[in-house]
Amino acid sequence: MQIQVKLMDIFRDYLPPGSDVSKFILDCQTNDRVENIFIILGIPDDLPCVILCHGQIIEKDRLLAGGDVIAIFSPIFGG
Amino acid sequence: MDKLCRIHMDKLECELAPIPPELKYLGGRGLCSTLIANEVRPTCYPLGFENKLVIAPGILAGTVSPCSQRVSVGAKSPLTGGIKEANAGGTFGQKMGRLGLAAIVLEGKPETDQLYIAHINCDGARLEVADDLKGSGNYKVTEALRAKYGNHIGIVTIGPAGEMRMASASVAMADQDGIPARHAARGGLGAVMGSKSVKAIFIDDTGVPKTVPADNDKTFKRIVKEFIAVIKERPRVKHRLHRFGTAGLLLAVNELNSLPTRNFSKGQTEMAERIAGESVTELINARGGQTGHGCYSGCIIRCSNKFNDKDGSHLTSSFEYETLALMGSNCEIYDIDAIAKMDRLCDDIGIDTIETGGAIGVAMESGFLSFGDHRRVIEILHEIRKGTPLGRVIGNGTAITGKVFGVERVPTIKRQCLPGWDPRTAVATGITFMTSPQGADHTAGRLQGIMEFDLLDKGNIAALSKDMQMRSCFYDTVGLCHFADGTTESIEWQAKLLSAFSGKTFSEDDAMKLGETILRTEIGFNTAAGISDAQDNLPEFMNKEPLPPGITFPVSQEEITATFAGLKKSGS
Repeated sequence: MQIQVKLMDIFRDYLPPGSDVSKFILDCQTNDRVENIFIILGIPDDLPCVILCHGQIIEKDRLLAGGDVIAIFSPIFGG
Repeated sequence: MDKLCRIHMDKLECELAPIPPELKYLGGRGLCSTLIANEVRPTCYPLGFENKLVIAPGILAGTVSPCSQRVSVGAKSPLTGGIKEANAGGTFGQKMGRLGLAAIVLEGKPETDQLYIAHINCDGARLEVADDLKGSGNYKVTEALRAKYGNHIGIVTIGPAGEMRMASASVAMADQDGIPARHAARGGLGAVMGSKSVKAIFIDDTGVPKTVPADNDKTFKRIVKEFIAVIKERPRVKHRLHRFGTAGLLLAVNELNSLPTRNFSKGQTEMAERIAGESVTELINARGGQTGHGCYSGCIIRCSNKFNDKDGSHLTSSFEYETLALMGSNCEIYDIDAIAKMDRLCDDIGIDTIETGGAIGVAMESGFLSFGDHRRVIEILHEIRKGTPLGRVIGNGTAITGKVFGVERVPTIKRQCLPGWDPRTAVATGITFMTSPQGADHTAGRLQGIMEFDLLDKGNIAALSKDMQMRSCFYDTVGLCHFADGTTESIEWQAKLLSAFSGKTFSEDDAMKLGETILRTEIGFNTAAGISDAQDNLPEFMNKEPLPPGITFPVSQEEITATFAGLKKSGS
């Protein structure tokens, strides 16, 4: 199955080579969870982050589904 | 800090007096609001003789405490009609602290039509006629003062908008490079300074020690060292603010459906990437600008930046999220260079980018100009500088612009434009916009983090707003940058610092009580000025229009009223 991943701010350091400026399609396996995205991209597990799926806040242990749009960014602060 | 500098513009005299004992451990917002509440008639005309403009650094100004050099400006607001405090960085607060100045108070009005600058140093204060600076932008005034008196001075100025007493006029503060990019922007305080015929105030701190000692200096310095280490390790400082500045928020706020888009008709846009902080940072780096810039010496957050144009020349500094949101997506302008030019013009003319972006968005809604027409926006900004009738309409803010152009969808609360957080999704911040005596103001109590976007199991979100508003009052009284010790974190570091500084025990409870007292003082002033909780409402159109894809504001007016009843009742 395929999902779309959008990376922001410091997480762009982990964009796969050749991907769009902020987003890319990722092939995942059935039963993969959000944490697998972090493993695939080599994002350190202890990097503080917010994860959204279709705009809703989710946790790393959530199961992925085909067509998910996952956004990952640093905790928001400022304004 | 033990002195007040009163500048009597009616007599053209400056007076240095000891601060009354009951005000000794107040600073910043707390001192501004207390002086205004004590000395200004709440129903007075904001641009008249009776109003006063107070400039006060935080309690810890001039000390080695990190991120504690912000300066508050306060008065009765010509925009909201209520009490107003806005604060900014820059070097002025540090220098006030070094001189032992708790506040500068501008009062009265001169009988002549001359313009003045106030010059303050360790020998006292004096006024000089500055008619040659009439109509000048903040950049020219700052450059002229630095050329004449030296690059070491701290400077506060107003641009032509302040001279013309426009309700969106800001008070500009020069940063450590002498760039007038830090603004106490909200509420039209620059118009109050203009009504006193004061174009600039500058401080020369030559001859005084560079740091203000604490009562228990050894302990104070130890706590400072520990606190600096804590701030530097905070993820938001390491990963976000230092590298991308506040503009780095934009894509996240877009994902959370809270980015004002097309005059607050949407909370997100496919075009966000084009004005994102990541894109701004890329341009800054490619053109030889600077990220991680501090607005004053010793800042360890360094969220500011210096943005160059296509030729590599400096265009603007402190290019921020709120400007990109209100003048960018809110006006459907997705050209970073165009928005940077607008930011430069607003800084130079001396107007609030939030209020101006809101006003232009409303004018676009009316069809007077098209959404996305950045060339016309830049022409309008030049009209504000010249004071043409159109320029004066837009320069008087979003609410006035809405009236003049007959627009129903006007994004204001207590006549002040909403900042870049749509309250239908940023709920706790929205409640702050509704209930704060400061009008719609994100610095009055924004819930940092994402809690407010995920309302499940969050209990009384209105109570969170109330708590944040009291914390913000306290932080703005200390002079602390909210990015150092955010509104949702413990106040323990500030309590420890104030205890060592004053030599008296100051607890976290004391901090919250101080914040609450200030909030009550401000509410009391507003109540006497005729502003009641009947004005604690969202803009009417936001109650009628769901935010796509169908989001309505989730907290009832009754719940909000009940949560704030204690504060409002005692404030009356």
